[in-house]
Amino acid sequence: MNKSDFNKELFSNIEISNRMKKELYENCKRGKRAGDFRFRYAGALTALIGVIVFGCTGAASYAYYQSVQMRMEAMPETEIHEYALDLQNDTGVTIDEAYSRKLSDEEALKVAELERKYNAEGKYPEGDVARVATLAEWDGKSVCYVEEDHKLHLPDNMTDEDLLEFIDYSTKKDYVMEQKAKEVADNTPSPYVPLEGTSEADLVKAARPALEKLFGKDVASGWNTRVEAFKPSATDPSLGTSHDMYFIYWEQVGGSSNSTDYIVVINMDDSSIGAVAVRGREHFASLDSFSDAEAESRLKTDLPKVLAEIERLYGYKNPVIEIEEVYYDYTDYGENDARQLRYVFNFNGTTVDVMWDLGTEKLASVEFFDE
Amino acid sequence: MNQEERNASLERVIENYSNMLYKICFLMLKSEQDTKDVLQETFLAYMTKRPHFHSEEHKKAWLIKVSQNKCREFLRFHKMHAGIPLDEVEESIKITKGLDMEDKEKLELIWNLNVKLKGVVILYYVEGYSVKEISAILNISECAVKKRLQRARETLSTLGKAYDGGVAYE
Repeated sequence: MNKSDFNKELFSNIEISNRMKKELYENCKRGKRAGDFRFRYAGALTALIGVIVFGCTGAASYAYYQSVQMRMEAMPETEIHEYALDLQNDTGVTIDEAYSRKLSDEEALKVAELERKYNAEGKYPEGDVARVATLAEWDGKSVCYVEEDHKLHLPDNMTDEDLLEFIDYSTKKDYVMEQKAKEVADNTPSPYVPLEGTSEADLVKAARPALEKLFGKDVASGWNTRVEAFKPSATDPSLGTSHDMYFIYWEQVGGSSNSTDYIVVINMDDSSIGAVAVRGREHFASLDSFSDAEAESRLKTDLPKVLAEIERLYGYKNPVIEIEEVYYDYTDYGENDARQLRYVFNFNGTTVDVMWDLGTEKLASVEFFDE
Repeated sequence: MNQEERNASLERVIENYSNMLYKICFLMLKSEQDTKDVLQETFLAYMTKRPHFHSEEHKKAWLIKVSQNKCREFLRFHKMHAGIPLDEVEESIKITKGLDMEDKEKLELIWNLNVKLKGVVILYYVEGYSVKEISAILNISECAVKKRLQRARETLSTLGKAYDGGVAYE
């Protein structure tokens, strides 16, 4: 089949409507993200469903649930309304764009540390984030929500109190968001199901060797474990069972979505390992940063090391390389702040998708897909 | 560039490229709503990242690359549209309007191709990119592009024998 043999008329009826073009223009002009609920709230919704289905496991999670939950529930209606309005007006494309500047690595690490104290030890700020109508009213020294540009403005130097106010603001906003998500979750069949025919302890036991194989013997020692059964075929059998899987998490006491955590994915079909990874903004902030040019050149020089590591750990060799790219974190730290490489290999029908930390020269994640 | 100029640039890029991106992404995602979401994320990235382009071709390739990455992320997360048959989508959008039965069958074959193969087929046959260009756009090796094209041809041939002249390897 040559290019000239291909009948492009087959696709002539697939065309965008003027209405959609206009809508795209209006939405992008305002910086509005697509499918607001799906893209922005997916994480919170998932977390919430997890809590609803499985309850809270472990003493630390329970402490979190009680202590922070009480603080959230004690919010007056006016405050809840303010957060709901902030969410409505929030036009940031990434999380960081909801702030006047991104957090530095030091601040991100400090936030993760203080969040654990906030969640597990009840260490709360003494004050609240200030709110002003216009930027001109901000003193530049405190954390402040400016209604004029719908952003949280951060001072150049943030004290622990400033960071705790920042955490408190984010936690309360997430809580209000989760309440909205819950309204939808209540009316949506959940792909997250209770465990059947296995126990949390059995799954943790099955997953632990995969975690230790990639990250070492004592990784996440003493951390909380949490298990989710993700079974999309339960809500739609036509999907087949190939995407049904267990997620096994290792989380720090009092940890939040920013904290470093580890995950192992086990496929329900055949109990094979689907993925192993270390995640979280805290982990990302701890990585060394490289220029784009340095990272680009490392794509070639690090490739043999990555392949050697995959062969040593999993026995795969001689792949077709499908993707090799400098990977920028979802928070998009921008130019000349590269920290990871991503490679996708095909080992005779098995696709292996890996993230490689440039500074430590270690694998940060591996995912396996069979064709 | 001030806000007004940025909006004008956005309007131009949507006018010039949205139809091409819509076609590519729709064939990948098989859903109008999901395609709209991916396009919105793509144009938003164009607005916020404000990349510098050497030429219109460079801009076009960048937009395809970003939209393909968004499609890939989307499919990886949702993984639920792979099984939607053409007939079902036909209920809302008449994408085979005016096509005779043979062409409809051809479209159906492409529709049902594996996502990875389909991406390469669309860029190669519909958008006319070379193997080397597709390799750069999709960030995959030229060898992988060729392999996917070969497998797509084999699959199309095996599934339908619908193309006159059968399989002719380049």
